[in-house]
Amino acid sequence: MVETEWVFLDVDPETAEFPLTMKIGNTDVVIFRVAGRLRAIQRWCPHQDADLVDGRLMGDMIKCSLHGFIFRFTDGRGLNCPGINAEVFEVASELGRIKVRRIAN
Amino acid sequence: MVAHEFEKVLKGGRVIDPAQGIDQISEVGIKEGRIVSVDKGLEQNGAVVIDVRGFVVTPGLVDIHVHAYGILGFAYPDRVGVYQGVTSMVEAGGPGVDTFAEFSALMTDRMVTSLYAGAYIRPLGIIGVDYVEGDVRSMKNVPIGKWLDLADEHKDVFRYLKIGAFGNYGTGIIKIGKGLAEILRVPLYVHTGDFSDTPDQVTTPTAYRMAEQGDIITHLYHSNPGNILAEDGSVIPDVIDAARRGVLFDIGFGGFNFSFSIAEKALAQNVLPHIISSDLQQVNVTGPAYSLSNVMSIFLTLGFSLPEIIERVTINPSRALSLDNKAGSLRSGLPADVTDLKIEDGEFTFADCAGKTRMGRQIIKPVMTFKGGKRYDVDLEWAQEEKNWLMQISEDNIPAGANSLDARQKDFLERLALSLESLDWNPTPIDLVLAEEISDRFYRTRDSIGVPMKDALLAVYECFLEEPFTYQIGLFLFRLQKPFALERMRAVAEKQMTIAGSRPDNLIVTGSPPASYK
Repeated sequence: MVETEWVFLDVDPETAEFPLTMKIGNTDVVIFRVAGRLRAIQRWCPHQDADLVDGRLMGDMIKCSLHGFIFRFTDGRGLNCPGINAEVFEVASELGRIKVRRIAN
Repeated sequence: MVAHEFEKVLKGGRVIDPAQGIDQISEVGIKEGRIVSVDKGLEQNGAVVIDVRGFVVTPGLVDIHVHAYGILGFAYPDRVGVYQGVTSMVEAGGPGVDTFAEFSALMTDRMVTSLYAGAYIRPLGIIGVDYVEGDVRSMKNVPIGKWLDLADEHKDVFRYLKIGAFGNYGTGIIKIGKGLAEILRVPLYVHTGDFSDTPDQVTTPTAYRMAEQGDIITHLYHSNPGNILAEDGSVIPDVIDAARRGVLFDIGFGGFNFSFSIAEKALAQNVLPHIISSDLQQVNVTGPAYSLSNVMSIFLTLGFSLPEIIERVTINPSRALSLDNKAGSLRSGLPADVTDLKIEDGEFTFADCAGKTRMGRQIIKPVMTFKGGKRYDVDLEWAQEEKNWLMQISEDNIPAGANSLDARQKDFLERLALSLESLDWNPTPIDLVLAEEISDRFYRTRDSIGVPMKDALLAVYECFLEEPFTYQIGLFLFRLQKPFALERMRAVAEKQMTIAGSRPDNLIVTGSPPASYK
């Protein structure tokens, strides 16, 4: 397994206003705080590119505002849209900053 | 008046029954599960009297567009039925001609709420994802003989033929659908409005032109490509002409199918729905649709009077689907399906499917439902419980329900796993040809050992599901990883049987009607 590079975001997770957006390579990513825990998912819905910044948090899942498709933050699986999955990212806080990286295959 | 004429009397409510032109404070007398009479001052000797003063008493609500079964359906569909004030509902396209037997085996006697079916013209029924639905090849064949047999065998349940006017189908499928509906002698029920991608050709105007008196067009006020407004905001003439011909318009609120802006512009031009329906399904029961009564409240804010709304959720849908000998009115002799509503004053915010909001001064809240004279107390939020709408595969553990499978069901699982061994599939993206092949193998295996349809379906679901969801079987197995699916079915098949008849508590809703599988 190849470890991917952390990308640091110079934002204090304690005071930041979520959701936050950033890029990992060419991929737009959106970061949420869910029950005190950081979660990162591709920003544009894999179905029809709606902005997941506008999505609705439901437990440890996000529901796209366009068609109600729901993705699980733990693995990106589309729970009510068979065959459609989102990419999720590893995200953590470190010394007052947020770090995000692509999950290695 | 003879004593004991009624078993139950609903006393002192404002009875609104548009079918009979009733809007007055009255009593409703019930006996042996049927309405005996609606009148002022009914004799109450010996009857159980239920005080409904301050409530509006209406015929049990009828929702002609719900997804109770299949890929979009609920684990506990009564929670959007009698527990939300709805006594009759129509499954809007879950089953197709090749899955109707599955629908029938699973849903008959499963619910307290009366469930009827609109079958979808695609053989497997609704798929729910537009990258499949938008491909005309997913329509496959339209076997007229098989459809006629279905319509004959299920004539009491089968209420309409559903088609979708969206995607890059062109208009051919609308014409095929109209022809088939005519052959089957049921109304054509047309979904209008693309998901959101603009197709090469918008087909909705053709749907309005093809529809005849009694056909129903749903999602009247959607704002997607193919909506009813021209660029200048005027309602397109095809819609006006259709209304003149007696085509019926339905709301089908849905998850992306209702817009305040479209509704307000259309209402200003006097283009009204004949029927109000919810299109409740997994993705919208936690908002924006919530319940049929929420959609009714939205029509209050749009300026409809309460009787105008009641009419559109009782006698109008009932007549449209030839159910008026069973539902939609409080006429003497009909089943005692009754809904009691509370109208609350206050300041309420209502949202459409685009998140646009309007303020309302009143909200309609069902409080009590009678189905065949039996009382169910409404719990509007119960349907929103996650286990009702989010189907999760039990990946780590074999669900406890698998313990209830008998030897024949286990034999079936083993044979099914063997039959699927030679087929390769991967759940992403959906491949209908493969899903249908899986379905065929399920059916052939079942035929070879003569397991009843329901037992065979449950044998598979119990391997993977903690909650009693239903799902077209070919699609269900296809969305599982093959090695996992086969391994699990074999593990369950090899499990020692526990005491016959034992059943895990989690498939039974305590204090509720038989919402579980069995």
